[in-house]
Amino acid sequence: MKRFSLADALLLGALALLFVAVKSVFRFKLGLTGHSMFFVMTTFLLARGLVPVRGSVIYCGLMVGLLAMIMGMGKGGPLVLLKFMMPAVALEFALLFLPNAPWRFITAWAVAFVGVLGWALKGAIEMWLVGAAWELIAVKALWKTGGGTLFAGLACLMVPKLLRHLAHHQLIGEHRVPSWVRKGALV
Amino acid sequence: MWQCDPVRLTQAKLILVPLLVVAALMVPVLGLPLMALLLVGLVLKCPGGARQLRRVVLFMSVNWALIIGVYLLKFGVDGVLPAMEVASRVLLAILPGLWFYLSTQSHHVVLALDPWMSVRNAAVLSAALSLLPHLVNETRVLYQLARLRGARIAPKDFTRLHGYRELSETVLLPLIVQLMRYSQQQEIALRCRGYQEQQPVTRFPYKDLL
Repeated sequence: MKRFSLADALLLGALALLFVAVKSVFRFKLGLTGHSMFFVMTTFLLARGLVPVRGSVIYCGLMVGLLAMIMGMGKGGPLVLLKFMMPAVALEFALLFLPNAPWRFITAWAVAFVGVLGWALKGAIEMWLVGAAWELIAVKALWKTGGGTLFAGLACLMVPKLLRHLAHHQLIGEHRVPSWVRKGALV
Repeated sequence: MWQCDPVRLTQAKLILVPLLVVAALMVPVLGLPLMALLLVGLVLKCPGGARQLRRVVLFMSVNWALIIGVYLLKFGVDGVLPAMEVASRVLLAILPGLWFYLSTQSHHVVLALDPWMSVRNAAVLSAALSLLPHLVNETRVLYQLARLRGARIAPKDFTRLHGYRELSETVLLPLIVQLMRYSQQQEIALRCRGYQEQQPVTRFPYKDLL
């Protein structure tokens, strides 16, 4: 039994494509830690907002990873998959507790923070495998989490607004919009 | 000259790269020079390898400074050697991915992934890939239309925040609407052509492509 319909799967694939395309246009080599989290969280939160089914974020993460690998983004080969799956799984986990998170800034930021933690965990595991001093692991994880959370916050400013616009124009099925958004006016 | 099937080779690489990364991170210190020789050799053999390698080293220099700084603070001068070890392992862990990127063509990756993917995932992935030219076109049209309507999204506006806000409202939002429409149309098109999840009709013709 598939969790979501073919149209939903195609939409998640299209969102993943949008992410990969946008990311390859905006290639900031500024050394800004965590700026990719802005794009990642925008995509994942939109995915969850448009397809509010359990597993949609993980599916979107998988598609992003596969597309990135095929299109040679990030120059990481198969490991790019892990880079996107870690935040996706963490975000999905947080969404178990806050299912309507993408519709409000605060809740979106809360789940995005968990996603960023998942992303920072990947680097921490890497450093732990190397056998680095724990101070180094902590400094790097904190630095990444801080930067990632900041940029994810910017994404969370944007996503609820976009979703409410789409819901206002009845582009998202009515049963997929939380009732308190349906009643409320356009923000 | 004997040539390996590029798809099989890519499949082998897909498995080998994660193993090489773990090896670079965990192999005993004595094995490190050997790993370095192997990985640097592999990367340099690829076209454009030297330039990419230089870039990676430059990009990693900030990371190295951080690692050595933390070790110096913790262990003093004795910390330099372990810091160098950690730094070189972190660099070596990047190289297998770089080698994969430089030495593998995209269509080989698609073909290599094919047997490992379900019919639906293969269909979704190829549908997304075929959407790419439309997406680029659509974005260009939307951007130009928004510019004509007076949106402040000229390249110089992206140095300030309002540029990004207007870009999200005038380009990203209609683009998402368009993508939603495209995905619905793709679903109809797939169903009309008799797409069934049990029958792999959407796979690439494996031998003909090569």
